[in-house]
Amino acid sequence: MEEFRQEIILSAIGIYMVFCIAVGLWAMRRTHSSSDFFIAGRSLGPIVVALAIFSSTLSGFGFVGGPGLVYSQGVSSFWMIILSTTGYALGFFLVAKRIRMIAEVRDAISLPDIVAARYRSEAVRFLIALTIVLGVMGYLATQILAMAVVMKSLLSGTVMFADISLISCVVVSSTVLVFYCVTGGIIASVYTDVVQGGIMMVAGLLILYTATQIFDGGFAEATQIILLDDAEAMMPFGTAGVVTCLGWAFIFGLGIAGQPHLVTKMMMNRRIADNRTVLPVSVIGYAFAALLWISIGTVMRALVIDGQTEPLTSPDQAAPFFLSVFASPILAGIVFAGLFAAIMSTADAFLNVGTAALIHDMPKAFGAKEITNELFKARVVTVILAVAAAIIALASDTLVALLGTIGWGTFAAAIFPVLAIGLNWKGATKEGAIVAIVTSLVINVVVNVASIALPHGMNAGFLAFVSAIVLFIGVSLMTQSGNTLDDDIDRMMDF
Amino acid sequence: MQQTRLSLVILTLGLAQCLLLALMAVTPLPENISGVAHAVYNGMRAGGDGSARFLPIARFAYLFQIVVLAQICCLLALGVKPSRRSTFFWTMLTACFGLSVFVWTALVSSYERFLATGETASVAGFPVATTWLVYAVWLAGLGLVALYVFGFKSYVWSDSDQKEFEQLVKQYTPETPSS
Repeated sequence: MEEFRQEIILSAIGIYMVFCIAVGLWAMRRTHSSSDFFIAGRSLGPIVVALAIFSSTLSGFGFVGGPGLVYSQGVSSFWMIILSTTGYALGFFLVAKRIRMIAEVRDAISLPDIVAARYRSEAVRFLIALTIVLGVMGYLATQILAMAVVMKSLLSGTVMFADISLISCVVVSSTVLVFYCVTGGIIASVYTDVVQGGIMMVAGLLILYTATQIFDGGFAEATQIILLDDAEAMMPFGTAGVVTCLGWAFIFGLGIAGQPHLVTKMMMNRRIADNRTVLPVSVIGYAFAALLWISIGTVMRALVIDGQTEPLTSPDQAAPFFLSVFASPILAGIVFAGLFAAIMSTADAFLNVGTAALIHDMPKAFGAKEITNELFKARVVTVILAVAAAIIALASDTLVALLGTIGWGTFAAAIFPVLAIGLNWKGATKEGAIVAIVTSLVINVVVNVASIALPHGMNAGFLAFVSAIVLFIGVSLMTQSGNTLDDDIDRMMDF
Repeated sequence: MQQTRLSLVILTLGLAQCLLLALMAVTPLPENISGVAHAVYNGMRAGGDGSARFLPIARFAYLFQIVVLAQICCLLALGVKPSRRSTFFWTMLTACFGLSVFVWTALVSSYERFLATGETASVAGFPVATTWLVYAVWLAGLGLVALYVFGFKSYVWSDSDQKEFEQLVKQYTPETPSS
């Protein structure tokens, strides 16, 4: 079987891509309106929503970047995933119920729709839509690039495609992504997410088992090897130190409730009561998938220190190297398909929220009362957005890096206070919301663009997040006069 | 009114976070605070002297995370209708907070013990302090998940809420579907 390793891996990825196309065609028959395209007509069952939420949380970063960070920095990046249970619980207590209620009563199809209804403010709608569009471009560009890089490294190992270019890989992978997003919208996206989530859970468990078999003494021997080389790498704050770790825990824990591609999925379930099932399934799914993050990175660092493997050319090679050397061909095929699944599930979620922001929210923020042919425009803009992201990914490292700064941390800082606190506190004002969003954008962009080194490894997103919560509540308290809610929103906030 | 009071508590905790971050920022620390390049292996980073980079800010960091955990509990309470926050709810929430603080305290004290002695046992595949992180921090969060799942009808969404919401939908939803 070993001599067919490359063929098995490519077949697994090929089958997965054919499946995505088939789902796109199937979902096209169920997509009749912009509501179907963006929020699946609020008709999804709890397991579908749960798997879609957790699989969108773990992008290609979770499969490639995560193990790479553990290889590079030791335990530090564990803090990005370890507060996920708390973060998910917070998201469901604060957001899931009210966002679904407002979506139904106001026929809202996007996150900016929700905040515009809550704050009676087109300025808040515009700022949230702008944040989403900027972040989406960065996320999409990096996801497309990641897909293409992995595809190129796999195909270049074959005789037929040994000289395939990165551009060709971008075109192939983006075409599949765009096809099922354009034809089936969010319906195709969430149903592929279900399979993606399943693959990610199975991959996480199998990789953990494989990783424990590498050393005779199991995982304990691997951690002991790292401990003897540099104890800090295996201690709870890793090499990055306590300030960085606490910042990551804050951003990635609390910040779950501020991610547009995740909270939008909370609008899609059939019944609010389904949230009781959605939360635990999401948490369990995420935990299984995250096993891959921890196990591969730790074992690869130990293998290099132990002299069993040469140092990697780049930390991001940790997962691909581990799979190509230590995993059986079938497991490697499953995990590589899982990697593409993880990248695509995040990319399709971002394509969806980005398209909604561009064709639905921006025009509304500038006074458009009614948007005609919204479904057709959504499909066209989905293509344009993906092509633009692919061009950015190929053309400008600087632009990708710049847009990449408007990622998880910015979303968390800009959206969490406005949404999670604002939907539960009638005293929150549009002025508070505007100040919080602008502050988070300014801090993230200025610190990253100007390469300002914050003290002790402090993260810009962390600083922005803490500041945004304080400013949101503080400014809201100072701007209470004339703060009123629409009657329906007022009543929904009493539930 | 109760929501505003809770928001004020969240604001106060946020200000406490800012203060603690400022105190950490002005505390002089060695250059390896966020790691240095590994001397041997390209692409890896090393932590070096843990005592020098952790102990000067250990108290601030410890307090910061406790403030964060308290803020999480207050935020979570904000998501529950004030009239539903029963004594049992507050008891459960306090228990979850207490458990999280206990785990965090155990993590920090295990780490400090290692820094003092240079010795640690291995439990479930990791050094003791990291075991607290990998298993206990994650599991402590499950308490909040359990509170949501098992208290769903009491604190989040009851059958009467569903009926009331259906009435509200009928009252406010426009007749014509969206395009």
